[in-house]
Parts: sequence; structure tokens; C-alpha cells
Amino acid sequence: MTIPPVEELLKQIMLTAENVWGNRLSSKDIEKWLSNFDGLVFSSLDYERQLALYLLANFVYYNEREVRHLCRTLFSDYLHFMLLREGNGNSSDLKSKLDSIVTTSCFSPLGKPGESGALILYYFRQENDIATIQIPHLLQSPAFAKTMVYVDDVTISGDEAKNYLLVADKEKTNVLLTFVSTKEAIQALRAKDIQVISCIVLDERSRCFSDKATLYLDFRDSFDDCKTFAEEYGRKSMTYQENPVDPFGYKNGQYAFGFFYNTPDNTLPIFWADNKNWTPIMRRHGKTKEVTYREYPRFV
Amino acid sequence: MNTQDLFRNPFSDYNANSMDSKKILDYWCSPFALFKSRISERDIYQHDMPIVFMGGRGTGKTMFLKYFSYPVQCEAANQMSGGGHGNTLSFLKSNGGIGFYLRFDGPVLRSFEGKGLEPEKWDAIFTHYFELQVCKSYIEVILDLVNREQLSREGIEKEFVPRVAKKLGRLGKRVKLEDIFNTVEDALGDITSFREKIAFSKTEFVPSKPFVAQDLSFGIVEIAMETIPEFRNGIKFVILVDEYENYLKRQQVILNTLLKFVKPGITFRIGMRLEGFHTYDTISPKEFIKEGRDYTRFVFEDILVKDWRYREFLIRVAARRLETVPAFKERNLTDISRFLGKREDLQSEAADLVRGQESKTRHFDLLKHSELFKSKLDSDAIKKIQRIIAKPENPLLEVLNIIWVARGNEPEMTKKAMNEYLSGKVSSPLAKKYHLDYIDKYKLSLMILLASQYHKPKMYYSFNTFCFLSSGIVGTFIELCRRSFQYAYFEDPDTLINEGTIRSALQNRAARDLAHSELEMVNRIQNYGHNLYLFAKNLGNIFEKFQKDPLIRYPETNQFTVDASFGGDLELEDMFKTAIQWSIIQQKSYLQQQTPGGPKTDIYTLNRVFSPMYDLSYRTRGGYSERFDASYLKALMTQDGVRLRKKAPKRKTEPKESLQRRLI
Repeated sequence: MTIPPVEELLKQIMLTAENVWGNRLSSKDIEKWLSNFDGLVFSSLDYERQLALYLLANFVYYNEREVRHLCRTLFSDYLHFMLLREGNGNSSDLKSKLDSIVTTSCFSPLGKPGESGALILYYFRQENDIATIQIPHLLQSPAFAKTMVYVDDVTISGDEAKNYLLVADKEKTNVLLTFVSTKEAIQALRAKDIQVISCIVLDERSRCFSDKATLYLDFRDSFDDCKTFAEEYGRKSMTYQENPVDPFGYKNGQYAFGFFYNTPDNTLPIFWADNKNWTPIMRRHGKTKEVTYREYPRFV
Repeated sequence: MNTQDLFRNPFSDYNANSMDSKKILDYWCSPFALFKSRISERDIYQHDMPIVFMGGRGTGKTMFLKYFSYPVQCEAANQMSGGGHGNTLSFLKSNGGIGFYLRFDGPVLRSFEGKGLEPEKWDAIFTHYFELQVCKSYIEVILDLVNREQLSREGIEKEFVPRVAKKLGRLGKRVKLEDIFNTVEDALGDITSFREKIAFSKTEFVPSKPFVAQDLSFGIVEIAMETIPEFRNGIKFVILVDEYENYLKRQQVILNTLLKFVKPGITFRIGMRLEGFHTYDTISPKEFIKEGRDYTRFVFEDILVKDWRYREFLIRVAARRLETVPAFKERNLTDISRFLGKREDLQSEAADLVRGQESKTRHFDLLKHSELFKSKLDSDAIKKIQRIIAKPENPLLEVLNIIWVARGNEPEMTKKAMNEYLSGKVSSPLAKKYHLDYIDKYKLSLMILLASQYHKPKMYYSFNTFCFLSSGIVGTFIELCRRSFQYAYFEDPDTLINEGTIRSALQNRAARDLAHSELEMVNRIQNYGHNLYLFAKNLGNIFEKFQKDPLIRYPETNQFTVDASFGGDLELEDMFKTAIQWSIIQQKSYLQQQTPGGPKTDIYTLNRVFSPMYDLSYRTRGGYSERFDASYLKALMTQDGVRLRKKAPKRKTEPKESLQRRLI
């Protein structure tokens, strides 16, 4: 079976635009993005539009409401994990156990202020009524804290977390809460004595062009074309990109998801690449690591 | 400005079942102006006789009943007092009653039958269950009023609680109000557990204390009136039962009996689909409930569709929603008729349609259908007529001229009539007739016919059109708006947000989408879904044939009559009633003649929400109604692609020999 026709895909995307993207994506934005696909791969513009729209229809977008929900879920999963860790007790002392877990936990963003971890911690604090006293200054580990909880949105390879948590207090339990992670990241961090709790654990099924990808369960016939399409245009989209990544995303990520505040670079670059050769549909705000020359407007 | 609100579709929430009290209040629009003097808001609480509110899916029955329920009125009291609970009780007193909302899902009600247990036993268990549910809702409200410090806990627990405890068979001293609530909950839990077990094992239901009809539903009210001073002076307990059509026939017998024998201080307001009564029987074999004597009936569509104030009502309903989006409210963009346009512009639509065509005179081929010319009219003759009656800037007038000529009028006289009409010669009988045909009778039919000649669909847009398409069902109107806004946000957000308008093409797509999805929905109806789907499809195709008649002999026909006996076929009758219940067809509220001069009979119309699928008129006009006998009706519900069995009667035209001679 081949993928659905353009009209059906557009209708599906319109529904998603209203219900998930909060009507922030209009057909004009989509048309601008579709203009990137100029027949380079299959010479048929219509077919390329269809492939592009199919990938877009399968893009998973987390809006603010969902991010807040994920924050609540993470906190509850954290409490559950800690309760299990401390062993079964009398259910009547459940409340005191939970109180003890909460009051001896400190929460910190993974990464620097200004990075995504800090933004997530802001929502996390609001949604779970975390006292500000439980949020120490960066990399500080207050004496009352038995558990240091680090919060971030995504860990795919686990590299960033490993590097950042090199200085973590080894005397304490260190837990990383992320919305999204992978089995590989969880294993790598566990080896460093860092427990990872995630709402969504990605595996091969979530990667767009893995043999096990759920994206093509019903449309196996379109797999090869979609892959070639995303790869060729992924390459093209990176031609003029600062800090280019693989055609399927950072470290060959092959993912198709993003958040209302940013899109990870593990996601297919055809969605987020932004340069003179490419118009994005899901904007990515990359990190500038070094101070560079900048132009200022005439009136600051 | 909050950008999240800016892009929020104000018509997104339309299911009252999932709305909280605040949202119900936010969206509430009093429909009482539409009810004229038949009923007032106060009557909902104070009128002694039970009232039955009937209406199709989406007419607002749940919204209506929920509005009068205790939680929503509490919210209203809170809002009036600026957030405090200070005057909840006095607010309820000024209402004249307290509403207790009860709604059971179909599967729950259906779980009270079968599984090897005799129907009489299920009747007893259901009665026990219903009594407990009503009791629970009473206690919940009293408990809430105590917690809000509107009633004295001391007084309640001294007088009311001991008597209720005794009635419930709850033993022990110092029983609290919460204990009463828990006792009722436990008893309900026993029933749930029994219903779960009986499907798998032989189990007996032995409640610690069984309750029969009226025991608690009336009994607790009696105790409350006697022991709670605040309830003594005229506060009525109003039991609001929603989705009565979900109740099994035997369950309706039990509730009908309660309806018939309501006591002072208690009454019922029942919400149900059309044809929602499965029976009028009561437990007493010789008694049945009768409209007017035991209950008053209101049909939402009847009230809504007929009344010109329906439009005003829809404007207010939409305004309440538009006001919730600050971007619209701040710029005073709360009039839905501004977004949609007040009326469709048929003249422009026709001109646009013809302008886009290669051949702009194809509609003159309609002349070939005239019996006067019997297919003898060649292209030269058509051109000759065309030269006389042409009006290229207004193709609708051209189609009317064609119809006039095809019906036997001289082309020159037709032209004269048109010119006199256009120059505003009000005194001319010819101009008057032309005006009558064009403006009052045929304008919409002319557009439908014109579009069909070019094989193009008719457009559906404007507030006026959406009012008609909604067929008296507020939910359909909201859904049309929701889809229009959805398209506008996606396709043309700038015009929507900056100008406060939605392009007619986008409205048209919304109307067509809804028609398709409503038809698909019919297939999913549990009982007879596929039959009703075929019925709607066949009716649509038949009316399409009528409405595209090249000589407009059946303008806007979309109504029919049936053999009321259904040929004794009970299943057919049941299918037909289900079609009414789901508003696939709608019954006109009063008897009409099938044809001019014929006997009066019940008339039915296809729900106009389907009109865009078949390019039908969105209006219902009197005149011709097709009659379906039982066997034909059965075919319409069981076969695909059923055609008109007989040719519809033809309109008489006076042959004018001179005209024929001159043209042919």
C-alpha cells in the first residue's frame, strides 16, 4: 500500500494544526516549506509533496499543555521509582514516605541556565509545586538533599548528561528526569550510576528509516522512496547550514519530533534546517557556543 | 495579548457532557425567548407537571438540563457573589428549586437485563439502583451545602440524618452525613459488583435493605422538607433525567410511573431524543402516561426551526464563544454574521461560476428540455432565443428567462418582463410576476440548476445558509462554525484575525466536510446504522433529481410522506423511528397537504445538513412532497442506488403554437 493522497494528508495536518499545534501552522507555512522540494529526487513535484506531507503528518509536536503534562507525569514516575527503590512498607505510612522523598530531593536543570533544562525545570516547578528552596544554585548540593534530581527534555545519546554530571555529588543518589530518552542513553548513564526516568523511551521503531519503523507499518511500499527523499533533501538542507549534521539528523537520529520551544537536532533536518537554501517548518534554535561578531541595530 | 488564545478556535468545545460548570455558564444562552410565553426559566423549577424536552443530537438538551443542575447554579451563585459562598442557598431559593442531574450511559442501563435472570428481578434491581442514585445526588447536594456553611451541620445531623439513616437501614449512634453518603455508595457498589459477577457465575443479589419505587426518590425529599427548615418554603426538588432514550423499555415503565405520580415538592425534567419514549406504560397495567395530563412536551427543533428568533439565538450562542477569545473580544469581533457574511450573494456566485467556463452559454441548452420544442430545437434556434433573452452580466436572470420561454412565454415578452423588473416598474404586472419568480420563488433553484449545467457544485456559505443547514440543531451550527474557523486558521489566518471574515470558499468546504462526516456517522449508529445510511443516500439522490429538474417543476423539493401503517412491518417502523431519533429525517411539527388540494398528513424532510453532498437547497419549501409506500420505503432503507419509482407529476404548460412555429 502506498501513502495517502495529498488532500487526505493536508486534512490530517489541518486537524493536527488545530488540536496540537494550536493553529500556529497555516497552509502558507506549509507551502513555503514544500517549496524546498523542487523535484531534485523524483522529478515529480506532486510526488515529492506527497512524501514531504506524509513525513510532516507524522511529526510529533509537544505543545505547552503537553509539556506541562509531561512534567507532572515525570514527577509522579519519580515518586513511584523512589518508593519502589526504598522497598515495600506498610501502605499506611505511604504519605510519610512520599513526604520524606519530596523533602529530601533537590531539583536542578541539566545544563546551564538559558538551556532547555532550565526552561523545563520552570514548568516542572510550577506543575508539581516544588519549593524554590529545593532548587539550589547550579551544581550545588545542599546538605539536606539525599537525592539530586536533574531535569531536561531529551537525552538521545546520553553524552551531554554524562559530561555535565561528571561533577555530580557521588555520595548522593543522582536521577535524571527527561521527557524523551533512548535505551542506549539509559544504559550509558546507568553505568555512571545515574538513574534515568523518562516518559517516552525511543527505540528502533521510532526512527523514521529503521527496518522496524512504525511509520511504514501500513505503507511498506513507500519506505524506500521516503528514505531516499529524506536523505537527499536532508543533505541539500545542510549545504549552507552552520554546524551541519547528518542528512537524517545529529548522529543519524532519524527522529521526527519537536517541542513548542525548540526542535532537537536528532530530528530530520528537512524539518528544521534554516539557511539561504532551506525554509524550515519547525524552527530550531541552535546554541551559539562562542562569542562571535554580531551586528547591532542602529538604535539599541 | 495571549497568543495561545489568539489561535484558539472558539467553537471547539461543543459537547456539554464534557463541559465543567464554568464552561456551561460561559456558553449558556437562555433559549426562553424562543419558547415565547409557553414556559419561563422559573417554570423549570416551579412547574408541578413533569416536562419532557425532546430534540435530536446536538439540539442542546444536555446543556439545557445541566444548566439547571445544582453544580452549575452554585457556580452562578459564586460568580454573582464575586467568588464567595455567601448566598448560595438564597440564590437557589430565588430560583425556586434545586436540580439533580442524572445521566446513565447506555451500556450501564443495558447491563440490567439478561444473563439468565428473570426480567421481573432485573426490574426490582434497577428500581433499587435508581432509587439509590437519586438518593446519592440528594445527599451530595445537602453535604455540599453543609460544607459551604449554607446549612447547619448540627441541625442536619440532629433531625435529617437519623431519619434517613433509619430509612437506609443504617444502624448505630452518632451517624454523620458523610456516613449516610458512604452507606449509599456502598449499596451502589454492591449492585455494580453483582452486575459484574452475574455474567460469569450464578450469584444472588440480596441487598441489606431493598428499596422500591419512591422509597428514596420521594421519601428523602419528604424527610428533607420536614426536617430542614431552609427547604420548607417552596424549594422544589427537580430530578433532571438526561438521555431517556437510553433507558430500556421496562426501565422506562418504572420511571414513567414516577412521572405519573409525582408528589408536591418533587418533579421531573426529562431530556430525550425524538421518538425517545419506548413506551408510555406504567407499572399499573391500566395506567399510562399521556401528554398534557401527565407531562408537557417541548420539541427543540420545532421551536428553533420555525422561529425567526432562532437566528438571533444562534448569534448570541456564537457571541458567547467568540467573547472567550480575547483577540476577537477586544476588537468587538463577536458577531458571527460578520465572519460568515449575512447572506449569500447568488448573483455574484453565478457570475463567477460562468466566468470561469470555456463555454459561457451552456445553460441555454436547457431550452432543449422544454416539451414545447420536443428536442427539435437546433443550435441556430437556441441562438436566436439567446440573442433576445441574454443578460450575460447576470446568468441567473438568463436561466429564469430560459425557464419562462421553456414554459411557453414569448422570448420578447420575457425580455420585456426582465427589463421592466430591472428598471423597477413596480406597477407593471409583468414586472411583479418576474420579481415574484426571481426573488421569492426560484432564485436559489436557478443557482442550483445553473451549477448543474456546468457540472459544478453549488456553494454553501453565509450565516443565513448555515442557519438553514443547521435544521434547528444548534450543535450543527456550532460544528459548521468550528470547521469554518478551522479552515480559516489553516488556510487564511490573516483575513480571519485581521479582518474578522472567513472566505466563502472555506465556509463551503466546511459545509461539505460536515455533510460527508455526518453521513459517515450514520453508518456507525448501533441499530440499523447501514439501513439509515442507505436511506439518507437514497433520499439525497432522489431529491437531487427533483431539484435539478431542467424546468424547475419541483423547486427545492426535499420532503416526503410515508404510509403511516408501514404495511404492518414493525422493523420498518422501528427503522423509520430511529431515523427520526437521530435527526436524519425531521418531522414537520404540523400536518400538511402532500400536494395542493390533497389530504393533510405528516411530512418529513431530509436533514438539511446533508444538502451540500447532493447540491440540494438548504431551505424547505412547501408544495410537492413525494409519497413513499411501505415497500418503496423498505427499498430505500435496504438497497443502494434506489431510483424514483414513478415519474413525478408534470407541471402543465400551455402549448403556444405560434412560438413553436416561429422557432422550430
